[in-house]
Amino acid sequence: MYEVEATADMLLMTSQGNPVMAREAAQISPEALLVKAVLAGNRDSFGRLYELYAPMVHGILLARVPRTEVEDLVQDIFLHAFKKLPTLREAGAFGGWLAMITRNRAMDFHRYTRETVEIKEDHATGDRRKRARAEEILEVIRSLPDAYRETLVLRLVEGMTGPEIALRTGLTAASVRVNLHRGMKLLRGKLGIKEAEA
Amino acid sequence: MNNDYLWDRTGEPDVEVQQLEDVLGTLRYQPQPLELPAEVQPAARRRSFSALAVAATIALLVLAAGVWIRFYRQQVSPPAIAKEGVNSNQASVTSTPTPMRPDELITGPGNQARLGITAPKRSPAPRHTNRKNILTRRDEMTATQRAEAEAAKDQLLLALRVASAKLNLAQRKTVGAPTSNNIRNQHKLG
Repeated sequence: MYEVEATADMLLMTSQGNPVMAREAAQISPEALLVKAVLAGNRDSFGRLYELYAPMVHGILLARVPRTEVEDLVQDIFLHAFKKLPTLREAGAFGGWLAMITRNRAMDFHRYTRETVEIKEDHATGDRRKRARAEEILEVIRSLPDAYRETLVLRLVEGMTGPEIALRTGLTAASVRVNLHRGMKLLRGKLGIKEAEA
Repeated sequence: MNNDYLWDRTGEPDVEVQQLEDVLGTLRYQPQPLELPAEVQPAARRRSFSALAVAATIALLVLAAGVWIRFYRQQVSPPAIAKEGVNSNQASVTSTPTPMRPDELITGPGNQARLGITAPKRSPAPRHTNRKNILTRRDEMTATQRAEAEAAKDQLLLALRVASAKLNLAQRKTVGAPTSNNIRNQHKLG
């Protein structure tokens, strides 16, 4: 959140000379200002958007595609978004637009890629054991309905709060809250069953 | 279970959620620099053809309506003229004679014959002044060309329908709605 505020302050400072620009800057979101800056030819502003939204894209992908593919796909998606940015009609809707691109890309991945088997690492050390446990839980989360798994990954893996998830993805806070609580309830149940079976 | 902690990490921490965060945090996004090739630029904004397509469709519809109204009037108007003609004849028969002007006394056909004046052979009057002539011509057209006109109208409407469908297709393409590739997905379909 601090990064976003800093960006907004920075952009407000740049528009101090023009009172109309300053008023507009105060009304629209920092993300929208960054989008407009990119469209005006400022490539560095896209770097700021990348920093702000990469965790969201990573989380959405992690909920849907094999972990080994996620890093490359994040880069592909931002490259695609950069090229297609002029087609975004409302600059303030960047987050929702990017989330939709990411979901579509994840679907395309499954449509056009052969099934792969993730190679499990050797779990000798404590860290690796923890990572293996994380991947097991991630598999359980992936078995949940779409809306729940995406929200849970963003919350539990990426460490975003509910309001942040709503802000980034363009979903309403109420939807995110419902998805979080219902998803968590399902996850608790599934993990409980799994642990009991083991 | 503390719902506030799950929502925004406020309030009393939920132990289970904390444990999940701790374990799953190992899969968290590790910041990496964005690699944007220098030659890549945002694609130029495509012209919005949708508004143009809508305007063209409306223009075509207006044109079609105009043509249809014209045909409709042509089909309706001959009986009206005929009726008018009959009424005017009846009116000439039943109405009381109006006083004639001095020039009509001489130039009227009956008076000329009575006075022994032979009128020179006149070429047929211009069509727009000879109502009877119009009536017969329209009747002829109705009899011989109505079918042709109907066929022309049908063709025009068909052409408009095809044009409208093409415009819709163009609009869909410009908007970029994805179309399912049935050939590629045949294995999924069946």
